[in-house]
Amino acid sequence: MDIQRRLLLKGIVLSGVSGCLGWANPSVALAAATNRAQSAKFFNPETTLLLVNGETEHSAFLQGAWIAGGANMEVHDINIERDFLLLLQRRIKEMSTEGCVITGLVDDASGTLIIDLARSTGACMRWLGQHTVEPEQSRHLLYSSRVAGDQGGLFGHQLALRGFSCIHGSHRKREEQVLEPILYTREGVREDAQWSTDLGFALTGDDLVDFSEAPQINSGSVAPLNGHFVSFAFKIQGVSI
Amino acid sequence: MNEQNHDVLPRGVSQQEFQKAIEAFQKLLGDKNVLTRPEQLIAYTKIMMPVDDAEHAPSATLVATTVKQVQEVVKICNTYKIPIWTISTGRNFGYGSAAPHHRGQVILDLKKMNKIIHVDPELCTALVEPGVTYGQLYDYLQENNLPLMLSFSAPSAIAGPVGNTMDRGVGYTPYGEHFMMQCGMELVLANGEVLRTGMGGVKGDNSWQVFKWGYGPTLDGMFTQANYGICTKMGFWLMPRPPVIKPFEIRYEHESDIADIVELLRPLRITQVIPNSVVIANVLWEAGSANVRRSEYMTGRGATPDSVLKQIQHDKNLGAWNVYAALYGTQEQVDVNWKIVTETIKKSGKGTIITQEEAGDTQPFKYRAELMSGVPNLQEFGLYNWRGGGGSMWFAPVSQARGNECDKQKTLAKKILNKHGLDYVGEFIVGWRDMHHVIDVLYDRTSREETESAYRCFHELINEFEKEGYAVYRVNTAFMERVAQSYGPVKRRVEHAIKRALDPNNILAPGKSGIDLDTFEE
Repeated sequence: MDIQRRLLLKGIVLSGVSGCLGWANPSVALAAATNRAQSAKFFNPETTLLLVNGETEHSAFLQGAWIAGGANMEVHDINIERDFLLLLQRRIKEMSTEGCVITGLVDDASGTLIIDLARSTGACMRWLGQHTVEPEQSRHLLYSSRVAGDQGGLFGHQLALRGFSCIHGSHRKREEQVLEPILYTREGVREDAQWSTDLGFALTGDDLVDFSEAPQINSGSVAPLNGHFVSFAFKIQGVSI
Repeated sequence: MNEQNHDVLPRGVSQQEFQKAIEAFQKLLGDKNVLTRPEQLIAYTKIMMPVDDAEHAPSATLVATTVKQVQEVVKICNTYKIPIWTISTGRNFGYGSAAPHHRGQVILDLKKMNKIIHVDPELCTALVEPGVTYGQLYDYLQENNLPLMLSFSAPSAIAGPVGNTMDRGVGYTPYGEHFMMQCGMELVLANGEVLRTGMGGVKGDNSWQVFKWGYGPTLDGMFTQANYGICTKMGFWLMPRPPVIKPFEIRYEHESDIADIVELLRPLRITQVIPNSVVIANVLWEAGSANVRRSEYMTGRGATPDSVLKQIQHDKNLGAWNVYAALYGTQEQVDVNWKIVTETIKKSGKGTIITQEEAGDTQPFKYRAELMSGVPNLQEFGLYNWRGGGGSMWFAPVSQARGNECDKQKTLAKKILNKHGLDYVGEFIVGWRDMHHVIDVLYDRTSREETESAYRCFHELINEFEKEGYAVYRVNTAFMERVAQSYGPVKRRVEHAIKRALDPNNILAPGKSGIDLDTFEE
């Protein structure tokens, strides 16, 4: 696909998307989205770049993100071509004066490059996660809530409510665990699409994310998102690229 | 600046002393160039090794922009006994990424020292700062229409010549042995003095980038893969862009062909008929780089069976081994060498030659051809999708360029990797007389079981290769001490004697290549 085209705002029409993605109740979802969009605008005046690729581009993740992220969101389908990375850097630079949030769910190759981009631009990471969803086991490696912000902690809590076990990376004292990830695992359960919706909802939501407002997916009508992914959210403001 | 309770501290440094150091760094560099908050540090902590992230968590990151600042940073470090881990672009993926050797070290990030100081299109030399990337340099050459060509490692667009050369990395052009092409370094020593190697110390000299040796002992090499100084400028040679570059591939059907391939190529390489660092990549390396995923073929744990490898080979039109080489020069020169190459291959009775015209824009040929032509790309990051999960370590033993040696190394490595449920994803990079055998140990960091397997596997690879007289030329930060042991006690004593002389407070990158005054025992 032409790189310029891929960088264009995809302009997803929320009502159109709600109809085709198997939400339990599209009208409720749309109303919630409108409310969330208004509140998101209040809490997050910056533009959010939502990066997806491969399977995530067509997943329920996007809908969760859209519901919580609201109006100021651009969605980009990314890849590992150098020209694309340069264009993305240029777009971020344009927006960095006013501040922007880069968030998304992508494959490992792109995730490696995006996290490196965050580091090299001096961004503040709000969220970093590594996800594996297999037929018989799911694993989510999330950096601790003090690092990730409340959204990460709340997503972890949401996973725990859904029966995931929680394993800390080491046996250090709690105050020393700040740069350690926490692993959430669940075995013997075939995941539906809800995890990716919740993840999108948490990633682009504010610090008061309430999962009761997250869209509920009809498991029969939306394919679950299986595989390996990297999730991230970081803020860029006034940086030099 | 308000006092901050720091979550991570350097080894043996108290909160109070560390805070004093941080305040001194802030006064020197400005608050925005001293990163101490977790949300600023987390991206520096992202490692790909099978060890706890916490073991490599930095206590802070400093961003310096001038040589003078670097000099002042080391003075503060000496005062407060603060260890620093220097990175240039920080893209040493698979060898430790940007994270420090051990917990609590302060990262000195030189990314903003990114000036291309000088490029001479006639003498074909360059002088750059550590933050310059190959991509930036490539764009500079293009924008200024300079008839020069770069050699770089596979993460070419975002990695940089200073970091890669200081770690003795290799590339894929005739200038692929990067340290061999380095000419002149500027280094800030632990006492804050600035050393220029080669001709760089001569007042009024203009041959710093053309004559490597200078006078007396040649010091450049001892600063590579070391912790005796911070490189703030580096000169190196660029290849004149030839009128014709002819990249090609030779595809081999069987894994057992490796010995014959090496025997066939060595004479062509030593005689410079094929002048570049030839690559012999196995099927999984090429499949991964071409975005093939393991999940397309199988699920569950364990090594990918040979039957699946054969299927991938068939489906994706790959060889069990895929040789990439190129010819450079005028059309006449290339024609002569092409005739020699094709006749040699034909005479050997195996191997299928694929030209650029035949391959077109297909991957992985396209990115390989670009690497051999000095065009940066990021295609090889596709390897991280083969298994997924964010785990990667390069295992890089060296061997003679002999068929039986390469076959032996490949067989041993594959056996150990498969035993631990991991895949042999390997390539040989053909030097003039040596082989850099590079294996990407890919695993899923979200799986504790697979992460532990990867750790055990890497240890076993080092141990078993050592028994056969092999050692790696470069390794990730978690295994540096272990690999240093392979090279014998005398070398280690000399290295630590130099360290004591140049950096008695052990402030520069303790642990790099196993050199650490705090932990070394005679």
